[in-house]
Amino acid sequence: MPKLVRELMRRGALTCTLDTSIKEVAQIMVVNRTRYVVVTDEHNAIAGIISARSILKAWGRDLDKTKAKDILLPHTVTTTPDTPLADAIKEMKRRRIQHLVIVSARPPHKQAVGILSASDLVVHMARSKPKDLTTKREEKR
Amino acid sequence: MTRVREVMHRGVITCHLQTPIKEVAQIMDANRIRSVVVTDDEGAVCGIVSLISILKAWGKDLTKITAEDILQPYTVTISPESPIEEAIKLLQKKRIEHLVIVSPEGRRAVGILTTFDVVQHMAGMQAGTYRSSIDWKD
Repeated sequence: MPKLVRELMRRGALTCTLDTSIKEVAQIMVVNRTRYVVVTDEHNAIAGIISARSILKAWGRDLDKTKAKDILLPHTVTTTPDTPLADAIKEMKRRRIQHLVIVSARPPHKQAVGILSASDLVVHMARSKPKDLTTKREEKR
Repeated sequence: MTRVREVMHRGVITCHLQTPIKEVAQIMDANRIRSVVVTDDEGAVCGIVSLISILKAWGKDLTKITAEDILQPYTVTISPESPIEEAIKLLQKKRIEHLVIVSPEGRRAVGILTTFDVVQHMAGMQAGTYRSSIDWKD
């Protein structure tokens, strides 16, 4: 069995609404020491993601008046908990992104259930023994 | 006008070109950082290893791959005296998360500026002060 996303993802995601001010989004990141915030609409569905780099777009603007909807990245890259980890990592490398939003494989599909972050993966690489990183796990009896 | 030196971190955490990736990942884990500056024998900056570059080694033997194999070469320079706007433009244009601040003489790293440092500046928060700067009451 290949290692799956669910084994290394973080359950739950930090979210804000479309009308949250950028000042507040920046504060959410700093307080939680994260580099992403998932933006949700009124139905709690994913509308986009704001990364630390996308906040830079708002530099020089009034941060209380600029809203999450003005700078969010609408094409959020998502995956499911049962995706093989190797595939998810390939996607992160290809797109050069540090976070994948995890959505449930069952409806409602558009709600964030977790986050897979590059920093959690690197921590896993730092702490694991060599065999943990191979994509095929040894069958245990 | 805000200058780079007001927002950047002074000092950087470095590794050598020949440091195995396993060790680089451990340096990141222990220091809770997302990039390590790679230097040569003379201590001059050669490049930077980021989270994404470490992920390239996923599934491989991490003790055999060295920082030299996966580093992003160091090409973008900025001075501590530059306006922060210039640094922000570079971070956006190059789609990078970190800018190494290098001393004019000898290419030694004197500091690092990350997108998160800029976000922290925009949030109006300095490290460790966020408890008092947010009004927790309704």
